[in-house]
Amino acid sequence: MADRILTRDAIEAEYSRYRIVPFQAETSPSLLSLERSIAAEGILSPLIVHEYAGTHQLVDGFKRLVCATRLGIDALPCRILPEVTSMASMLELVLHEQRSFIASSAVGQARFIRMARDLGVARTVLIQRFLPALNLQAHPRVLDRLLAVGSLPEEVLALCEQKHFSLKQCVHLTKHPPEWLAQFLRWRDRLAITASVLEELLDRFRETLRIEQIPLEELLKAPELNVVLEAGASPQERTQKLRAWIRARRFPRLTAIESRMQQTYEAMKLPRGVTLHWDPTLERRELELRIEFTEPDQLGPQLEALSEENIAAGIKQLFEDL
Amino acid sequence: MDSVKTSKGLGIVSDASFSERVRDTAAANTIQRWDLPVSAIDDTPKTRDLREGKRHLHISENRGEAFHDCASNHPDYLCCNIKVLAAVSNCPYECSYCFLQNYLTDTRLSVVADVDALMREVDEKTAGEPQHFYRVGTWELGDSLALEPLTRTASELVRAFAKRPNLLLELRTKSDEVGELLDLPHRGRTVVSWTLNPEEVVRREEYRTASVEARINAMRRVLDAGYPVALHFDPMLYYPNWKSGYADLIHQVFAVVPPQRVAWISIGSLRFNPEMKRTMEDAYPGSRATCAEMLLGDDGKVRYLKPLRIEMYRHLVALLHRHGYAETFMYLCMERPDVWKRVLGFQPESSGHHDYLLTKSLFERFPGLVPHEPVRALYDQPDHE
Repeated sequence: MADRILTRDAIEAEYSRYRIVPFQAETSPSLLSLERSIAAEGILSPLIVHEYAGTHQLVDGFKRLVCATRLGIDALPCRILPEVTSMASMLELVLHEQRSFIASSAVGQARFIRMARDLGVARTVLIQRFLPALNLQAHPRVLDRLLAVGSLPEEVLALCEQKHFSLKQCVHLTKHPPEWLAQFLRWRDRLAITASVLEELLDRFRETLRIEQIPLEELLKAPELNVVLEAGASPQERTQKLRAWIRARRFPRLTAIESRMQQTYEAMKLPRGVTLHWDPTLERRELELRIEFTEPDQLGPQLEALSEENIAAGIKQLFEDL
Repeated sequence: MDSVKTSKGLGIVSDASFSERVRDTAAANTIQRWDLPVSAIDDTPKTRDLREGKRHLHISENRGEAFHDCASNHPDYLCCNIKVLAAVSNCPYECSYCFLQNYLTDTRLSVVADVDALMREVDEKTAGEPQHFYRVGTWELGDSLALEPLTRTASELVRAFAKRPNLLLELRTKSDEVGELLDLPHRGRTVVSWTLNPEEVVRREEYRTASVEARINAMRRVLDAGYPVALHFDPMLYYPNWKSGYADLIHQVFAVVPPQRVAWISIGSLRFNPEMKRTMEDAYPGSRATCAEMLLGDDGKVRYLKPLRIEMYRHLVALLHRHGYAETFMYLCMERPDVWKRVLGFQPESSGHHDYLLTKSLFERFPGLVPHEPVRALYDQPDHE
């Protein structure tokens, strides 16, 4: 290991073998602060590079490099790891230096494991050495999940990272074709996508396509879908409408019954403070009547109103559907 | 591991215990009759892959508890309280909806050859209530008859149950493998039952099983041999032509099976643990079993939407009544009491009551089968309700 000054051009950063996330050059508050520090004090801690096939692959110091480049600093202090350094040791170093990023999210873990796999680290080493280092169970199934997540398209990984998806939520995405994921990503500005919403929508779309035996393109042509997506409502409202639309398509009978029951319920015009509840799956044949009152003298009129004919008829009608 | 290919495409292996304890059993003799070399081996490793498990037939001795309550018991859903004798595990057939896909932790296809040991356990566990009439099924973890030509285990059970007046054996199958049963001294103490679905469902969802026509021909043969039969329209599957499919099926069955020879008819619909849905869809991409509207019930199982189930059951019951089965005891398997009421017009008060009603029906319709008139109190089991 030796310390040397290298020029910016002599360091491979954008396409470094040890780059885990896309090379970031944009301004962020943390980078601005770092930039000010480098402008005032210079680079206090050397970059770490690995000699590899005549190049210097940046291992640690991506942010420092971005700031230095922006400040026009061309001579960069580097600690150079010799080419003979074992890959496992290199990765231990990467993990150590970038732990806060790698271990803080499922996507970070997946990116690291994918990179290690691509660098030729054996499965057994990944399982026995690196999964525990990421506080994960040393099991082949865990490795396979991480590798599957790591293989998701970059824009999907970026979304998962941004929305802090858990490993389970990321794994769920791997079970869907990339073109479906791409479609949902195209809608991301129009919808309020959370992990659970995405999971639900993907599952519903998958089921609908399987049941109706049609390709995604055909489903996307549905006029109602375009009405939902083009509506001038907020992303939250559009998301609710999309969920309702695909649910109704998957559960037409249930939706029709729900709608009928809701109409019956509204027609009953229950007195203030009185509500009826039922099992939305329609499995349990029971109605739950709730009476809320804040003063004792409110109860009498509420109970009296319950004996009205239209309420009895409504209850009978609701039971017909349960 | 020793294994040989048979006409069924199976390999056969046996546990080391085979050579000593199981050597003279019917299964051993039958396999020798097939001229298949059987040699003792050490315990074979377990496998979790269902299809891999089906490739070799294991002949083994009885291990652990084989006789127990039906696992589907749940307080919100009525059960007939049949007892289960686990003589078979896994199954050579491949039904897309088979719950074993997510149930077995050891998928080795195996048959317990040591029938004497099984019957000792049955006797021990039923001796305390000689007035209680027990129905005992061997089909919980596999088809009762699919392997019968190879093993003759069911035949041995038929002989054993023939000597026990308060026990009734149920052999439930999707096969037509009844040849071994025909000349047995069964004394009417074995009910041979079939799981039935329209031919379209059989072809698409019940791979490798016998066709409807073959099952009905097999029914004719066991009826001629004097056995009572039972019919299980369970799981009913929803598909676009289900109404006409089930109508044709009932018509086919009615042409052969006289209602007075039918001990009971069960009706149920597809249900499974939620995690099995994806397993089914991945393993059987052509299956349409999960395409209807299905929701999670209180017992943790996914079922068709209740109004759809009721419509399907009512349709089937109306068909059965039209074909003269009104007097036959019909029940819904793992259904809610209110569904019973709306489909069959009554609801048992509990699973114990259900058991009692079924036994009473057998007592009245099959003279001599149930030795004592059933007493309700004997069938109420608070711990199950």
